Amino acid sequence: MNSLGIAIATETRKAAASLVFRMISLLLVIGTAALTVSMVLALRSGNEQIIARLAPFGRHEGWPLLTNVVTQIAAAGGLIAFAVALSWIVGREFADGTIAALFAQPISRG
Amino acid sequence: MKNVSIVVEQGEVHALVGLNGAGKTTLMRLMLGMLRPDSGSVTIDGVGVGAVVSSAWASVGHLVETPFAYAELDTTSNLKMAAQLRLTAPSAVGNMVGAAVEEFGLASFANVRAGRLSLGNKQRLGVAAALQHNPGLVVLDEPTNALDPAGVILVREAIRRRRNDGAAVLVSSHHLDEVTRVADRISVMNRGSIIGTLEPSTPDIERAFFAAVLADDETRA
Repeated sequence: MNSLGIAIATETRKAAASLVFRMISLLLVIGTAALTVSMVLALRSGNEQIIARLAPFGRHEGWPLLTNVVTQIAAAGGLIAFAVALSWIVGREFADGTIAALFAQPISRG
Repeated sequence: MKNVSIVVEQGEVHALVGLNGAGKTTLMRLMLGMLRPDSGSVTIDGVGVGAVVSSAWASVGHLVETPFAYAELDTTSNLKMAAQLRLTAPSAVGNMVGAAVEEFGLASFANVRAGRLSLGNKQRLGVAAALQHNPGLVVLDEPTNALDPAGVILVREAIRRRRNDGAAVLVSSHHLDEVTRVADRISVMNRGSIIGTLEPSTPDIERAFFAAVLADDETRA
């Protein structure tokens, strides 16, 4: 395995075991589901702001409506989740002091 | 940090002693490329530390300040990760980790998450991660921190084994008794400088150490 492969495997192993990543995943799934239900209910009740926000998807029904709403929410939520996860990956090394162990390693930073 | 000149030879344990804040950890960080000196140079096998090829770091083992111990991973997983980061062949990782667990008395904690380990056992884990791949250059900052007497002996013996196998070992400590038991050479640091050396066989090394520090302080005053 090359340096990049080892680095990715290492970070994946840490992420898979971390409570932070599990919580991020859980919140993303639950948050997306809750917001999707709210948006669809608001759409059906004739909320003009939501109708304007979802246009032209608001005209759809069933799966097309659901997938379009989920896509919009997941795009924004995913970006936030990515930012939190990335911040945690870097920040925890400094907070936990493990950054010192990551220097002087044969894994290139380049 | 100034007026620092230090050589760590193969097959030798070179100890750095000094009071808190003397610059021991900073010097180790400079030697490992974590910090860049404003002037002067650090070389490993004759190569400037900034030019050392990444693969050469595979034969370095270090523990500076915080042990390599991710709280969410158990002891075995941490050691496996440390071995992989040192480019250990996948087929050799299992045996290497097993030997380290045995050598550092971590068998009872092999499946315990590092976050649940005591400070002393976390320190054992950190030292094991630094030494398990039998590096040619070892840099250990206060390796016996938080260790119980049994742990101190384990670490001391582990360092001696690496030294006898030809490794160059730099170790810092402010436990002078411990240093005399393991070091071949002792350098004294004070206020960011190497101010002299002590013989490990010095009868009252504590007195000699403080005399050296006091003399340096008076010179600077």
